[in-house]
Amino acid sequence: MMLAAAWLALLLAAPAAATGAAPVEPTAPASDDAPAREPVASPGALAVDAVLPCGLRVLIARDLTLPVVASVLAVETGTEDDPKELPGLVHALAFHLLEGNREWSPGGITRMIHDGGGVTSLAVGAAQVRFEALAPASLLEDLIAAEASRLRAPSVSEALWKDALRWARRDRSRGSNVPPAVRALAFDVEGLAHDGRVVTPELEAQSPRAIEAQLAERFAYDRASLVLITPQRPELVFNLVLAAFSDLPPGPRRSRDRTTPPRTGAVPRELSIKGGGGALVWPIAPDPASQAWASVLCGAVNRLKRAASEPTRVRLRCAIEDEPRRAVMVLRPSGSDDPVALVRQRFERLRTDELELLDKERATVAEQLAHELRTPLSLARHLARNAPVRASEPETPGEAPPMRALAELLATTALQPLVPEGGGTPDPWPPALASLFELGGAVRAVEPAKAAPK
Amino acid sequence: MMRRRAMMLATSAALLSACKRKQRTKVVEVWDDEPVPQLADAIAALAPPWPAPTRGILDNGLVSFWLHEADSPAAHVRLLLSTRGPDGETAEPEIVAIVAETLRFEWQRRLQRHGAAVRSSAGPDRIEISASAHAAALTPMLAQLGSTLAPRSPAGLEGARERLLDDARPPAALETATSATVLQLLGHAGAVVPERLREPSRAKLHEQWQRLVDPAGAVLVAHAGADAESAKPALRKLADPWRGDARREPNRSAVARLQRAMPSQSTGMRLLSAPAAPLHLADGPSGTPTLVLGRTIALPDAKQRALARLAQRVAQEELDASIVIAGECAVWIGAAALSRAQLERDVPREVSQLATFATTRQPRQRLFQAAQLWLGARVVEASSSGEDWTRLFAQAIDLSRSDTEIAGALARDAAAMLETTPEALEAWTRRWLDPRTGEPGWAWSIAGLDEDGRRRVGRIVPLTPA
Repeated sequence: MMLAAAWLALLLAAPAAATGAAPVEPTAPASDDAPAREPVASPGALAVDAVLPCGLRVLIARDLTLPVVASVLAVETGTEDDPKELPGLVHALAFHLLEGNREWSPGGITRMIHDGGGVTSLAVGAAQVRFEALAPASLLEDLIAAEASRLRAPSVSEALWKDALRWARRDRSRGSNVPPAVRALAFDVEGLAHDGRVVTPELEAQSPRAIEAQLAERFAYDRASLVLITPQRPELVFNLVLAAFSDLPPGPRRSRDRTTPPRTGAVPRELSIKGGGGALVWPIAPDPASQAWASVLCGAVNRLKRAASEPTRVRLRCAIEDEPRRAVMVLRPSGSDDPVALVRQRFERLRTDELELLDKERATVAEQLAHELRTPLSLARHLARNAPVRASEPETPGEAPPMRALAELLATTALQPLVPEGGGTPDPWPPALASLFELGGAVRAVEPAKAAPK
Repeated sequence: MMRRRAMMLATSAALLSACKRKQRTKVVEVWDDEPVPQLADAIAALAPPWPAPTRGILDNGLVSFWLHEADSPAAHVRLLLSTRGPDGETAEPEIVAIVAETLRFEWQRRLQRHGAAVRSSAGPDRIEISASAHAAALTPMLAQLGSTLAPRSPAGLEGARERLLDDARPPAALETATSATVLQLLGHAGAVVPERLREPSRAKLHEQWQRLVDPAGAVLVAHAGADAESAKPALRKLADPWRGDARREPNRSAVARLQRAMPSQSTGMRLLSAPAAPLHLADGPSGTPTLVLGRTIALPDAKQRALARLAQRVAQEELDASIVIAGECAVWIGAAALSRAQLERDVPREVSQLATFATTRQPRQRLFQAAQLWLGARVVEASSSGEDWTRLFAQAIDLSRSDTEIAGALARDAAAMLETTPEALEAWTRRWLDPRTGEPGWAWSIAGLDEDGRRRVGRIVPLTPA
C-alpha cells in the first residue's frame, strides 16, 4: 500500500512537471497507516483524494460527458478474512448490508437509486467488497447520504439474516479456473483456500447479536474508500461528503496491507492438485502498474509465434483472472515435455529478440486502458480497486475534461515505453514486469500422479 | 446475438423493447405536493451536455452531424437508413433484416483488427448501425463503412440471409399479436417471418440494397475527440466510394429523411363501443393467449410528446404499456397475458383497466417520480453503454420536427415532462387512452388461442373476417 501510494504520488507529479502547470499544494499522504487528519481539497482540483477524520478514504474525480454520477463504496474486507469455522461469512454479511439500517428500509437504498433511473451492483471478492451505483447526477446528494448511512447501525434480525442468506445462496455467478488452493499458495494467504461463497448451517445458526458484532468489526468506514465520479467540481462534491460523514467519531484508518512480498528464483513452486492441469499461476501485485504489465505480458505471450526449434504441437496460452488485490496471471503450456523450460524460453525471447512485440503490446494495452477508463463507473471501479490518486492537478480553461486526463494518466504512466530512445534493452526493467518474468514467483499446479493399476 | 436481434426487428420488438416493465412497481407513498424546485431543476438538466453539432451534407448526398467532445479517447459512428424509398414505399421487413445483417457483418469484419464493436438494429422504418472503438480507429471506421456500402451488388447478402435463417425461431404469441395490431394501425407489419426470408430473389435483394443504402436517404452521426474540420479527410474516405442514385434529389433535412411512415388517418375505431374495432385473431403459436391493443396518436408539439411519454411511464406501473414516438406521431401498445379458462372475463377486463387508468387523476408526485425515472434511466443507460452520444442523438431526431430542433430536443423533452400537471395528463389520457369513450383510432389482436378459445372470444366481441 505504501509502495502504491508513493507510485501514485509520482504519477501525478510527472504530468504537472511536463505541462509546466503550477504545482499543487501537496496534501498529506493518504496512506493507510497515516493518522486521520483534516482533509484538504484544492479548488479546481483534477481529483480529490483525502482521508476523512472518521478514517474513510475519499476519491473524487470529474466527468463532464454525461450528467451521471458513479459511486463505489469499497470496503477492505473479503472472503479471505472469513473465520476458519465460518466460511462464507463476509459474503453473507455483504448481502445483509442490503437489508437496510435505521434510516433505510430493507432494499431501500437500491430502490431509491432504481427509482431515479440508476443501476446498482454488489461485488464480493477475496479482499474487497464493493457497493456500486451509476445514477443520474440529480441523485448525487441522495447517493452520498445513502453511502454515509450504509454501514451505520444496520438492521439485524433473524428474518433479515435469513433473507440475506437466501440472496447469498443465489450468488453463484463467478467461477475461477484456478483451484483456490493454488491461489492461496501463490499469495501465501491461507484464507484464499476456501470457497468464500458457501452458506453453511453454522452461518444459518448465527444469532442477531453475533451478526451485529461481525458487521461492526468487518464493515466499518475506517477500512473503506468512497469513490465518486461526477460532473460537479471535485472540491464541491468533497464538501458534501465531508458534511455527510461529519458526525462519525474520529479515528485512525484501519485498512490492511495485503501486499505479498514478491518471490524470485528460476523454479516455480509445485502443488499437486486435482484440476491443476499443469498451469503456472503468478500473483499480480495490487497496483495499477503490475496489473497493466501483466496484461502486456499476457498479450505478448499469446501473440508470440512458435520458435523454429519448438515442436509443432507445443502451445502456450495466457489469461488474467481479475480480482481486486488478488488477481493472477495463468499460463497454460501444452504439448511440451518440459513446460517450465518452454515458458522460460518464451520469456527469454520476449526479453531479447521479441522486445519490439512486447513494446507494441504495451502501447496497445495503454490505449485499451485509457479507452476502458473513459466511463465513470469503470474509472470508479479502477480507482477503488487500486491504490488511489493522491494529489491534484490544477484545471485551467480549455484543458481536457479532467476525468479524461486522469484516465489517460493512469494508463500511460503505468506503462512507460520499454525501449529507450536510441534503441537497446530496458535499463532497468519496470519492477512490475521484472517480477512477472520470475519463474520462482509462480506456482505450478500439477495433476496428482495416478495410482498404478493393480 | 446480433443476428437474433435482426430477426426481431419487427414492430413488435421495436415497440416493446423500449420500456416494458413486467413487474408492477410498488409505490409506497404518493403525495400530491409540488416537487422540490431544486430537485426538479436538477432532473430537468439530465440531458447530454453536447455542444452544437456540425451539420453537413457530403457530396454523395449524405447528411452528417458531427458531435465534438474534446480529447475523447473513444469514437462512435452511427448510420441511420430509412427503409422508405423516395416513392414513400417501405421495404419488406425480411429484406430490411437481410440488408441490416449484411451491413453489420461486413463492417465488423473489416474493423476486426481495430477492436471496434459493431451493432445493428432494424425496424420497419429504419436501420440503425453503429460502431464504437478507440479514438485512433475513427478514420478506419469511416473508411470501412464507405467500403462496406460501396458495392452495387454485395456478395454478402446471401450469407446474411443464411445466417438469419440459421438463427430463426418461431415468434412468441406476444410478437405475433403485436405485429398483427401494428399491421392494422400502420398498414404494414414490420415483423420478419422466417419462412419469407427465402422469397426475395437475388436480383431483388440487389435492387433493394441499392435503394436502402442510398446516401441521399441516410444520416450519419459521429461523436469523437476530433472536430468536424479535422475529420474531413476521413469523411471523404467514406463518401468517395459510396455513391447512390444520382437521379435522386436528396432531401436536405435529416428529420424528413428519417420520418417514420405513420398513417395520416386513424382506424376510426374504439374498443367495445361504437364504432367498435373487430378483434383480430392472429395465427400463431399456441401457448399463453396474449392480447395486444394499440392505437396511433397525433403529437403536434413537444408538450404533447412529453404527455404521451409520461402517460406511458405512469401506465407502466400498472399495465404492460409501451410507446414509440416519431416526430408528430406515436404508436401506443398495451399487452396482457390472458387466462385460457377465463377469456370471457379477461378480454373486457383489459379494456376496462386501461379505461380506468385513462380516466383517473394521477397525483403530482407520481408524475414526478415517473419523469425522474425516465429521464434518469436515459442518461444512465447512455453512460453504461459506452457514453455514446450518437445513440441519444438518434433518439433526439425522433423528438424533433426540424434539424435545428435536434440538439435541444432532449432538454426540451425533459423540461416539458416535468412541467406536466395532473390535470393536463388526465385530459390527455381521457382523450387518447380511453378505448371506449376517447378519440377513435384503436385496433386489437389476440394470439395463442386454440379453436375453442377462438369460438369463445367470438361470442363476446366482433372478430375480423377470416
